[in-house]
Amino acid sequence: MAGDVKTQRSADVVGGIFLVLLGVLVLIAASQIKGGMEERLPPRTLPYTVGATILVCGALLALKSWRSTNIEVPLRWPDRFAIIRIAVCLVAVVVFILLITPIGFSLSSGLYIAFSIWYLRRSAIWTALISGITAGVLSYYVFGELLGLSLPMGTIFFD
Amino acid sequence: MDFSWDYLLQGFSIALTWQNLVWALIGSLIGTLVGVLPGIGPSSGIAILLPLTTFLPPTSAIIMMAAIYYGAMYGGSTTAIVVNIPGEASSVPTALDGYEMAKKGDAGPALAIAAISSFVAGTLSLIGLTFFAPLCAGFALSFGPPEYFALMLMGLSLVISLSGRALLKGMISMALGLLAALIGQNPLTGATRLTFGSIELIAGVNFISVIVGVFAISEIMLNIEAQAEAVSLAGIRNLMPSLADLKRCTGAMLRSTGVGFFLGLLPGCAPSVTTFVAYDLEKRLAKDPDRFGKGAIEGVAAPEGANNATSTAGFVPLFSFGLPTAPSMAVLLGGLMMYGLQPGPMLFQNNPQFVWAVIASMYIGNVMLLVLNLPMVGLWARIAVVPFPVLAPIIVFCSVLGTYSIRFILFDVWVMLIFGFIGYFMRKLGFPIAPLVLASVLAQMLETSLQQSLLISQGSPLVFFTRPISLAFMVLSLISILWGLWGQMKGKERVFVEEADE
Repeated sequence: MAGDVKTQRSADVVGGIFLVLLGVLVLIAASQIKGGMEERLPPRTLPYTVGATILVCGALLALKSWRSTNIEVPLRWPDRFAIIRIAVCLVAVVVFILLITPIGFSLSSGLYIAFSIWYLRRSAIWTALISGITAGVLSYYVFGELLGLSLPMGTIFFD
Repeated sequence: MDFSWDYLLQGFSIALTWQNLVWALIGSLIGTLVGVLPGIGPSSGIAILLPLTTFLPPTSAIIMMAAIYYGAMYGGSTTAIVVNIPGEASSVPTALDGYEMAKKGDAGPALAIAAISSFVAGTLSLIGLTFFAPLCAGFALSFGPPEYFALMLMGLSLVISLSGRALLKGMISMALGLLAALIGQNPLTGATRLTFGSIELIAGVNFISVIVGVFAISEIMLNIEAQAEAVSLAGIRNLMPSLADLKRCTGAMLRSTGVGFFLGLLPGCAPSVTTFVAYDLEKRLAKDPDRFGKGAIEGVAAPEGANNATSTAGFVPLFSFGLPTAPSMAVLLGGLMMYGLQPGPMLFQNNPQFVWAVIASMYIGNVMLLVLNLPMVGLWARIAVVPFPVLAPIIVFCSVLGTYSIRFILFDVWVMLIFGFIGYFMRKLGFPIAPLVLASVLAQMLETSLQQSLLISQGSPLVFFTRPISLAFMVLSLISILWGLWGQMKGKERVFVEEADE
């Protein structure tokens, strides 16, 4: 997955560099905060402190790992099949969230659960269907009607 | 502020109303379920359910949330003993001897002793909470903003230095939690910051989205990666332990209660720390330590007792100082704030009925859990073997529902997903998660007390060093950081806290 980031040491170097960049980004964003220095705690102070902490700690992490002479500890990244599995599951979650507004919470959650169970366990097609329908019905009646949560009903049905 | 029997009895009268009994029972059931099921822990369980309880009055809601927390401590042992899969990190030492007992056909006595030890420790530490919390709250009445700032700083420092991994990564984790909490409006001035022009970000990043993301979603990603499947379940016979077993475990139960309770008062000493300490203590004290790891029943009683004592002890600093000691406590703190209740000494003064009703409900909840866990242990073990491919989408569904219900905006759900990614990489790269969670919840109080302190001192930071209590907390913060640095320089990465949702 992560190319050369196969050991804890190299992952810490890459992670440290990423954190340095994040720290710089936070410092730039903090410099744009409006507000007066007349306040006892100027509004930029805390964001500056946090940004600087991330930057300095990130740099220290990268440097410390770079100079480390300890034995390389391998990192267990997912193999190709696991990456595909995670990616499909995450895409399913993203589609689920994207569908909440147009088709409603109940229907989208039912479809998501049915698909995900089927994808992760192909033999459990009936479990997938029953779980999907149960989730849809439960979210409509229990969470929507009984608990009174204002869950989206679906713009394509009710607009 | 002293303990008063009147308040406690009043608390019992509220906790014993049928509505509160029902919520305590539901909380205990959900808590046991959360403890039994791998992939979801008490922090994410409470965080997911918190927004769904807004229709309840605050007392009932917090009674249920607290029951979920200590219920999870009971449930975690079941899978650890029966299938060698600890439902929570705090149940890892339980599995060492519990599973060995199960392999020998003694799963029943192991499960029973886990429930009995949990009950004994839970009840004894509740007595500690009942008498100790008002005393601490009385002490905290003299606190001003500088003391609160220094106390929270000390809490964060301890969590970082005890997080069991490199100190630097703990610091980074804390800074990321503060960064998430800083996005949006300044709590006092209302000025926007770090929003990058986004309208959604003005309302800020909700801590529940952060917690559900880093715990539940990242855990699911890890399990999908590992292709977790169902596990087979051994039969459970002879539920009751023998009298000799009970006698052998009495000392372990009492000692683990002491260890769990007193260590549990400290920030960072989560159940996953104290259970190992209690297990190790029993092993050292045993006449025949070689039995440990091969099915010693005290090896089950000690961690389970410490587990429950620690979870109860965490309520002392939470109620009396408003200081969470573990991620679950931070979520409960967030829950209290959601209901407009400010934990701390004023909680005992302004809302005594609330705080004593919650404490009283915990006594009742402990009895409920003993009753639920002893005869129904076989059922809980069967639930634990629900295949992960079925469980994972249901947890994601609950997470989406829970985070959406905070403010009814999908932005919170996207934030949860992003923090799921962040949590996944943090776990992979060995960053502790507890400092991030605690910082994201404490950030607002930390910032407010800092601003108020500087107002009092007319801008001088010396205010933290000229008042004796805040000076003591600042010194303790410094010592804990130096201790962590010393450990790191000596090359010792403490084996304590395995990062977990607890």
